[in-house]
Amino acid sequence: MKTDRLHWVWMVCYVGVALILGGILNLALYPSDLLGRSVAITPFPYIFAGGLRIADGLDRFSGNQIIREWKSEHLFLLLSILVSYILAVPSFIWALKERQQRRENQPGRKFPIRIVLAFAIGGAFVVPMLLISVIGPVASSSVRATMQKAQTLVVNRDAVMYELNMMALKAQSSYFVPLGEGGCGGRWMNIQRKGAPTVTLEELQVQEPDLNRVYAELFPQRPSKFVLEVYSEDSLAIWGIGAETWEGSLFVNKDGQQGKTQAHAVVTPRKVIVLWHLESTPHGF
Amino acid sequence: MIWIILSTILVSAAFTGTYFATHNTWDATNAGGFVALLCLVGLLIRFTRPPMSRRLRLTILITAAIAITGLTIHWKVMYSMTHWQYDNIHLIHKVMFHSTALDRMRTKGLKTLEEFHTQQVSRRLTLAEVFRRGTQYIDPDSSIIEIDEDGEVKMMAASVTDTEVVLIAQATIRVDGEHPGFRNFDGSAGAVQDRLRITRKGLFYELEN
Repeated sequence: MKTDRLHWVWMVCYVGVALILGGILNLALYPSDLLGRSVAITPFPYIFAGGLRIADGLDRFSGNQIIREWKSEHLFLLLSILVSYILAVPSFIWALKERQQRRENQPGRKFPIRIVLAFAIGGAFVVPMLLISVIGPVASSSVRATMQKAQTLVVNRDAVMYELNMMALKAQSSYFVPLGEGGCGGRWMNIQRKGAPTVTLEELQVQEPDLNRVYAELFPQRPSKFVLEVYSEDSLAIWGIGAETWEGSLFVNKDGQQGKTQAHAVVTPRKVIVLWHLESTPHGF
Repeated sequence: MIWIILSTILVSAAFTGTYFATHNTWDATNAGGFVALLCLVGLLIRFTRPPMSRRLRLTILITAAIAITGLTIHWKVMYSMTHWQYDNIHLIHKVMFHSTALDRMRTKGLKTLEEFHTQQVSRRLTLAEVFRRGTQYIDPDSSIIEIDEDGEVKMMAASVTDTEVVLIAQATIRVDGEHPGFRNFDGSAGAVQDRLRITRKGLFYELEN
């Protein structure tokens, strides 16, 4: 092994050194923050492209106009594809072929510098590619599924809270409108009629909530269920139970279901607090 | 060497040509990647010809097949995931706007409605008079009556009559709505917009875009 500079142990060492030097070079010469728009040469140009897409999304969130023009990121992206797939991989395979031929035909005493360089530099790209090709599909699919499930629950919660706000608005609006004009006339409960509510769930509910239209493409919403409790002439509460389930939750919903997203709104004529039962975040007092 | 030069030219042409045709980074990356894959497969077949040993040849080809399959799947997952995240970021922005707009316009609407219905019968003002009494325009030459504390939602009085007051909420920065052709109150097009109608019969809220 000592005299055979192309022994497998040495080959692994050459690749290891190349990986370390490559990492240092990237950090030293190029800030490798994908979202910071300045990047290095990477064996995974599609991850780089994905980072640029998300950066565009954040720019759009900030209200900036996205200008689609050729930038340095595109040059690095192209170089990444060329270096990784057109130069590094063929170099690696060429080195394997030459190594085999040299060992079979002409061991030689001269240090095989070309083979070593080709193998090391090629290997610095090929080894991470091989690792990611095995781990990447499983890991990224799992991450995507987890993110989508989590976001589905959060969106359902937000949709329920928005519907509660709309229903609260209708209740508050009805409170101030006189009886003769179709409102509740200043009371949600008729004390003289043994506490009979003057407002019903049917009057407050919206058949097709507008916000569901906003969610439709990414997170289509199924109908939520609601429970109304009128406490006095000027206070009531509305519970909203969403369609999505929190896995493993033992929480019993207001309507008897279990583990569903739930929020409730406490409403007075001039104020409303919307609370999500798992986070209890006050909203709008 | 010729093969590498030719592959470089083809991949560069595919990438840059697609980008300048579509101005889409992902399209260019996919095009460049696809052409690179074709060149690589050709290169692999050429490089693994004899005198390479059969054992080494099979090892390289099987490893390459696994790597190409795995990377292609990963590539596709990243493509769909980043596009989903891009759309999701925008969705969050729209929902934030609608929630803030509802909160601001509800406060204004309820105040106007309460004042209108609780005033003395003998000194009854119209809805427009009640509204104008409780409202100060930020800019007399525009219809903007309020901008929220974060400076992201502006409220405008679109119409003030004796029987109805119409308030419009728009984002102060560009937020695309569902319909690109929607004509916004401020003259722009396709941006998010909410509307609140204040009448003597109550408040009527609508997400217009």
